[in-house]
Amino acid sequence: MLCDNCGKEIAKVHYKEIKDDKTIECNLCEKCALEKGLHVSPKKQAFSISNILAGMADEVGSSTAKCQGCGLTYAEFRETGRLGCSECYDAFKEQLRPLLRRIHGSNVHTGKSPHATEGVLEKIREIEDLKLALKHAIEREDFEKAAEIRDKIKDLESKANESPGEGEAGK
Amino acid sequence: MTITEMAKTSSPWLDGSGKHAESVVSSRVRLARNIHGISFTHHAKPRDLERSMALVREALQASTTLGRGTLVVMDELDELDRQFLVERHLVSQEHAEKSPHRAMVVGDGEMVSAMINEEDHLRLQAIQSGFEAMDAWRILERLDEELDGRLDYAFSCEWGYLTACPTNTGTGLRASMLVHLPALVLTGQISKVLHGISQMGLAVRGFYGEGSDVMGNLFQVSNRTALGVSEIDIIQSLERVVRQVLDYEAQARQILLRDARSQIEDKVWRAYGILKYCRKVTSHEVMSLGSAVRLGKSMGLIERISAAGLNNMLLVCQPAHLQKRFEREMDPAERDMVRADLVRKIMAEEEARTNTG
Repeated sequence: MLCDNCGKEIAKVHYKEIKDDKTIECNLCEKCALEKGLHVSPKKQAFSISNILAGMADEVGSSTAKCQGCGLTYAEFRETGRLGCSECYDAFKEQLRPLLRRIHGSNVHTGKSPHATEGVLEKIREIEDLKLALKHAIEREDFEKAAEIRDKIKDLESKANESPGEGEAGK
Repeated sequence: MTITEMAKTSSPWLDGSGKHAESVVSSRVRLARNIHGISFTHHAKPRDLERSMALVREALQASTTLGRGTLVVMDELDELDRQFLVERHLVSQEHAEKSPHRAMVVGDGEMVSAMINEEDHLRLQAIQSGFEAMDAWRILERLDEELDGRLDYAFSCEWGYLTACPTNTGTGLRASMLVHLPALVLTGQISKVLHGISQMGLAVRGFYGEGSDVMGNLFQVSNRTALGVSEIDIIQSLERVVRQVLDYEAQARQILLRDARSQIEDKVWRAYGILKYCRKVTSHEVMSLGSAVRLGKSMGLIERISAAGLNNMLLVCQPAHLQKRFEREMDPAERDMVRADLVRKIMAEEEARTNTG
């Protein structure tokens, strides 16, 4: 919607005015609103996702952490709610893990993936399943089974490391 | 297709087709993608943005879905054209704000489009008329598959597609439906229903998406989480919740017909009369009067207008659309008069068509 006054800028201030028993609806841009003496503090007043997010991203670990890829600090992320590059996900891994869980109720991707990473993803999921089985085997004191699972994990992990898909961020 | 040509036509996805089209105006799905090794848009240097722009453009041009689409560079447009694209739901308000290295590509029929260097390097969008989110997803999935081989997407096996904002991390998918819920508003049950929707993990927004007001009883229902759920699950849970909301709306309409039939008929026909004879009308008024007539149409109280006609009226009555149509800048007072002329014309055309048809 464009400003009622200048018709050029985007209307951002919406209000109703009652004059001589008539209600007039006004939609003004920030500049025209300011000229009319309506005070709007830009940005700060906007209730946006990034504000909420910034509030949610509390201090887990050190907030002086810095991304080597783009130079963004965790403190800057907390302010804007926006990450700087895909490497930020690695740099702030410890802080992001609980944050992502709070936003999405989960922090493990289960949707589709690029073709280049196919296979790698399956392996990672398989390893996770095996680790759980290992834990259960140890709890049951079934050490023979545990040793078997441990070898399988080792085998899979060495394979995962030599497979392509290098250069994908945040592995 | 140029913007001026677009201004002369309605968006094909507003044609009133698809399931539940009288209550669900449209279904929209979007995917957020970034290129590995390039900083996200807001943190990127101009030459980074030139690179992401070139890579994305090339990939889109090679795709069958958008290969023959129209590319629009945002800072080559004037304010009016940019606002026109926002009203058209082809770009976001942020994308329309004048900054360099931003672009938009739209395919024939405006069903599929892409924003380049918005919050993420690439935002893909598919829109369908009616309750058709799954169809929209299928279209977008095909395009995403095509681009996958050509672009090195930023992706982590643990967290999925990496996006500038952590709310999109994972699938990068946002699916939404624009739903018309006048009876729930009239019977005062809407806040209860909206609360229920948010408890189901979905978000409700206004007509223009995030941060916008609710106008004309049109609510945009969308998923809020993108990580830990598959794309199909996201679409299906949206469909499930919207279906439920449509049931509540249908019940509320039954109650209105039973307990307040004369008031509803009066409201609907008064709205109809104003639209048919007005000489000055604001776009907000068109929205709310249009809502009443839409309600009458779907309750079987009015036959003389189609869902497509009402959708078209909402679209072309917006300020930038009006000014593009008549190819001149107008102040609000003049717009209100020109808009009234246009609304009367649409009403007459609709009457003529429904009479003969």
